[in-house]
Amino acid sequence: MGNKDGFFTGVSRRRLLGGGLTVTGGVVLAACGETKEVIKEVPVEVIKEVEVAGETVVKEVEVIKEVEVAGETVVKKEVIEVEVPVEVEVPVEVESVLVVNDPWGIVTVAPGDTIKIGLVTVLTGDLANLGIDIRNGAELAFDEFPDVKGFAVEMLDEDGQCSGEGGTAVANKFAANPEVVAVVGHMCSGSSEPASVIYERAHIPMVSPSSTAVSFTARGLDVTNRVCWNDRIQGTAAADFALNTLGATTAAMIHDQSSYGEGLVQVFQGAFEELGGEVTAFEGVTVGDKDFRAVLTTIADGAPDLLYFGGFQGEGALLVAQKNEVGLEDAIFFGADGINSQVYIDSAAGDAEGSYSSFADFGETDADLLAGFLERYEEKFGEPQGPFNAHAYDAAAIIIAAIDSASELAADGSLIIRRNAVNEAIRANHGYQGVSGVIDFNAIGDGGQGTVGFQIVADNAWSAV
Amino acid sequence: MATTSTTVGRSAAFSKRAFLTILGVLIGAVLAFRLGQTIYDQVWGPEVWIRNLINGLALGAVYALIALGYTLVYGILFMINFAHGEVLMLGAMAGFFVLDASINSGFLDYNTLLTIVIVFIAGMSVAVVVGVLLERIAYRPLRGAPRLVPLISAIGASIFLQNAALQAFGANVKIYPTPQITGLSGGQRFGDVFVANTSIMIMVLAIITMVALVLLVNRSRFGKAMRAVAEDKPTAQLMGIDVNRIILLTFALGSLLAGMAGVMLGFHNRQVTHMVGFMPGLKAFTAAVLGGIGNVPGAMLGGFFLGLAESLGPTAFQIPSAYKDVIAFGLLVLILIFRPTGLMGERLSRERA
Amino acid sequence: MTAPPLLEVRDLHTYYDNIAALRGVSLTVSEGEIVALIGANGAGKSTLLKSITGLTPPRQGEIFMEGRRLNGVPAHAVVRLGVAMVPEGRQIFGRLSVYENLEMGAFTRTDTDAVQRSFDRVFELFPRLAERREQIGGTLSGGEQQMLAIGRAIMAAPRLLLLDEPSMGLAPILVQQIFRTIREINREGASILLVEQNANAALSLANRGYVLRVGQIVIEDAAEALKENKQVKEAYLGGH
Repeated sequence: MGNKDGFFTGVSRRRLLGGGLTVTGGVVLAACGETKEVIKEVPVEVIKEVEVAGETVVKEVEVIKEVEVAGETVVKKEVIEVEVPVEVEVPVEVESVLVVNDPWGIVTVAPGDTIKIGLVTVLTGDLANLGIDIRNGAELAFDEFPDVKGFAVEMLDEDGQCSGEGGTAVANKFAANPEVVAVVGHMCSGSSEPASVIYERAHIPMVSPSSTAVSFTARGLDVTNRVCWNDRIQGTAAADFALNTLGATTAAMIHDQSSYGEGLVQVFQGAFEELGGEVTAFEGVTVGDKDFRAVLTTIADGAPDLLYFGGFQGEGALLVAQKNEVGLEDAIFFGADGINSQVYIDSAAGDAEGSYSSFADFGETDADLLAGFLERYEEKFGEPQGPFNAHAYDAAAIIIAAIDSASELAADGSLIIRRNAVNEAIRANHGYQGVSGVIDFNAIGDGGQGTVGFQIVADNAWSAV
Repeated sequence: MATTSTTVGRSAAFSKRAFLTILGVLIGAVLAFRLGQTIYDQVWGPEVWIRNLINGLALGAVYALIALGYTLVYGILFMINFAHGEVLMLGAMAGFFVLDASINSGFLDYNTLLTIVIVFIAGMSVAVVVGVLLERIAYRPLRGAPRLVPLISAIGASIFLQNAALQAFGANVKIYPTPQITGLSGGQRFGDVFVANTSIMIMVLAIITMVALVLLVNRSRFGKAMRAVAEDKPTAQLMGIDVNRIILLTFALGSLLAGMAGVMLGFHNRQVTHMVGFMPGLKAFTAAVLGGIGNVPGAMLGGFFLGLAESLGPTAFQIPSAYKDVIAFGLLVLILIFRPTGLMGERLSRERA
Repeated sequence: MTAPPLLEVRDLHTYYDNIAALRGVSLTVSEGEIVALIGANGAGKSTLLKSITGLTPPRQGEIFMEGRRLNGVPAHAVVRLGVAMVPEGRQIFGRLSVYENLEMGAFTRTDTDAVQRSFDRVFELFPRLAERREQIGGTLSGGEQQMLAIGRAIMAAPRLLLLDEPSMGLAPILVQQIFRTIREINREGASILLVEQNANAALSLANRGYVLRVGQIVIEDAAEALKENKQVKEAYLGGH
């Protein structure tokens, strides 16, 4: 009792006041001065509400009174204070049967109903190949872990685009649906970040398979988790690779102005300069533009050994082709996981040959586990199209397991899932053997340790360096 | 009273003018100073200037071709054909499918030049068909309606075509494999400066096309009829000119240029999606307004101006390239403040007055 | 009557939306005639010409040109049937040159030799236009623009020339010159339907005349007779 957070405080259900306030039902604390015959009292407006001890509310109410003074009827306007019990809606079924307490609230799944988990990737547009690859990975987990305590798990498949607008649209949709327990996603950091603010308010934990931007978890939100790495890992390793393996001492930074691209390039720049490299330019390109020759021309003036690009396959393919037209034909083109796809190679129509990218290599994990996953994936969906399908599988599997540990069966056969407990259970994974590697969540939700791999385009395919 | 109010009106007009002039001079001075600094400090080597000049000319040539479509239609109907960018996109798509087919059938290797010509013809033909259908279906029924109505119809047509293309052709990127096409791959070296063959193709083709267009508009029977219709439709009808036919042909002509621009961009930038017409369409519309919408040489000038501002602006003023659109559109606002009818538009408005 | 008249208008009703501008107008123009149509502002004179040329199609009634029905013929096809018009306010193409304006007049003609002869004739009638053939139409003076408008109509080699207020806004000396030219065009074979507010000048030129009032023909007579008509004198010839 008196617990503000708990909706289910175990108290028996009170008789509540209806929407319209009946003043006589409460205790009149301070009425009018001289006592006269009150004929009628009509509340007009609630001016102020003060909650007292979580149980009653003291309201200041403006009322219109008809009072009889010396045989005449007088109409007066007055402010009075009224004390009423807190209005609490308690579903009758749960009443005093099960005491479930969670600061983020609970989700009740009725018998025969499903547990709903969102899956947000990119299903249309230029990056649909990467999005569908991620969705496939998650779908495999949903297939293999189809239920929790006898309740079927349902995947709500949504397109969150690679944009803030796309991300918030899906997040608002999920936030409006009280049945959504957790979300696998989103794919792009630029979509995940604005969405996470909405999930934070709605208490929906998210586990992204591929939002690697530093800023995604750096904002200290409770619901932001990921099984991929933080780009600090990728950017630092890439800088080391550029300098020590590729032998580049000067590099130009290009990003696509997304939180992923720009964040990654910043990490790279910091690490590259720390290792003694020189950064000759730092430029942003606009997604959707197709002609980057002008920006490449100014970059060429600094004659960098290497172009480091934070962004996706489409812009990457344009840059790697157009650099050859402006005097950068000898500069190495080096991207990250955003270009690690066959589409990048095909889009560059031959010009991608010899360019490099980092990618999320499978970390130290059970080799059989990984092989089994890849086999099952290829059997169902064919050749993988991107680097994050295994991460998506892990994200979905971790969420399903977390729901299992954060839910109880009620006496009436429904399943009670505690939202905060789900998030806690996700973050409680330490040394988890995922197919993508060992997952070890820290306090801000970064779970993927990640082994940074590097590949080069040779004969129109990504091959080991 | 009357005198006072005139004086107030006059001084208000004067101060607005003075304010604008001072503003313009200040901005001009800042830009000139910055440019001078860039040149004096030799921030860039000469090849940067030359390369970006060429980049800007190629980009501007494409903008100019597209802008001509906006300006021709506006000149004759006083409406903005906002679906023009989508006409370009469908032209580029058609070019892609023909190119793809000729690669698969081996025709490209058999005769490269003929393949390129056929790809252009396919792109332009599809664009013309789309443009003509747009006019018949989306615009002609609204000919007598208030000006806002065909504008909304045009925006609707634009969204419709984008999504129809998305559904029909899918979201995946279509690739013009330029490096596999001898003659278009690679480029020419002039001293330190390398110019891609596609850039050369764009500039040469665009300039020939624009000269032909100017001749067509100024000298041909059709061009004169088009100008007559643009000026006065009832009187043009009295001359025996079929106004509907001229309007249809004008759409066809504008769409032809858009289709050509679409295929050019396909070869030049290689990537084609259902959104590929959107930004160039918007930029070219801007170019048309900049040059003075309705004015044919103005559209060309506007196109080249915008292309050059985009590619040379960040170089000249030492601003990050991410701000190239800020520079280009900032200049647009500046020019429109001083010349509301655009660079070439003033003569036109005076004549009408 | 043996031969049908060149132009015959029968019981014409024309509306702007639901406002009747012509309410049962009938008139004829015979081969070689100059017919004047006079009336006050808003009487429907211009509407009648626009109805004949198809710019404002009539709602009821019939129009025949050399026995051929003009109803339903689109405006741009009427000129091919031998009807040319000098519209009210001249309406020359201000952004086209003098020469191009004249070319537009001959838009439907394909016989280049004949067109060349028409050019020669126009430049003969209006030497000023020959001097200014490359000048942009919008920069001409009012009188020159009127010459150009008439010249442009001549370029169509019409059998019937419709003139809408050719004297409007011109100095008297120019008006005289314009009217002399009209007579000359008529002598060369074109019949003329002349709409004028300057009734005196129009009736001096014409063979016959009609008076239009509020969308109806109220008087029809020989020009000389109309000039002497008391009503006409009071209403239209007063000031002149």
